Amino acid sequence: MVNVPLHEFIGAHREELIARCTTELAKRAAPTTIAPRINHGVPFFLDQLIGELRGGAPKTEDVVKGARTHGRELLLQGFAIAEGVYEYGDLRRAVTDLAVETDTVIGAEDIRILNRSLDLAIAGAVTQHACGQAAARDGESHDLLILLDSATAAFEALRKGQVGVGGSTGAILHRSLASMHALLDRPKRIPA
Amino acid sequence: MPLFLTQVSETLRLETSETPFPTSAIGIAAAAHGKELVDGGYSVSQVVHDYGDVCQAITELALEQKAPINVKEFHTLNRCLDAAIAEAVTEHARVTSLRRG
Repeated sequence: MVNVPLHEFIGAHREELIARCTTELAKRAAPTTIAPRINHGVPFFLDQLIGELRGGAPKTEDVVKGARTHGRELLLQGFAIAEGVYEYGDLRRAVTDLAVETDTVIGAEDIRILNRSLDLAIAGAVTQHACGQAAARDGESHDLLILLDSATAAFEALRKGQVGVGGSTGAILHRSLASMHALLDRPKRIPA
Repeated sequence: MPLFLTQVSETLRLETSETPFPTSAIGIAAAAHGKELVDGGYSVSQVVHDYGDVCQAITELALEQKAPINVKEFHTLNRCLDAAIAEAVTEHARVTSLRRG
């Protein structure tokens, strides 16, 4: 058994992991729908994850932004909200499967970061999917949902003690709450 | 969540038996939980984090108690979580949409 940092493992097997996710996706969706979606979902997520695992700053905001883009893509292509859950779940399974097949041991801290990042991505994707549906009905609700999701993602990272409240994640939370406040305080337009 | 843990436990116990625990049961309970979370004012992203916390708690407790989880069991746990989250967010979105009219 070889102990390998997760960022090296993902870097070495990036294409294989994407291919496995694509295969799982094909079992649920028509092949013609695969290409545009997979490019903005799993590959983008893997790149953000590698950046954080290499010792960079937490990629909370980038992971959520990428996942939101993917959630919007899923909605535009007519996929149900649950697809966002299954796609990122496929990636979790692909990583653990490949680790076993290659006799690789991945450290508990790396696994924790992987799981936390996947949760953020799933939450971002399903929120954007739900927001997209809300936007068709009510623009203000859509803006509030986006801001609420940003605040929730930042709070979750802070709550788990992964980052300090005085850093960029704390700033995201503060900014999101201030924007929600401003939005709710804005004078309502009176219909003519 | 207590019901979900019981269902995961039963799923793991019956995984190799002739009468495996039905995934649909997890979905039904998770959908009800999704509606509860709407009623409690929780956002759809909090539904995901709610189940994510369960996964983290299980893996951390296993580590603390030196009770290794093998890959097959980890897959089963994650399959249950994916099914539960998918149904919970679907119901959350459905109920939210209905209430907004």
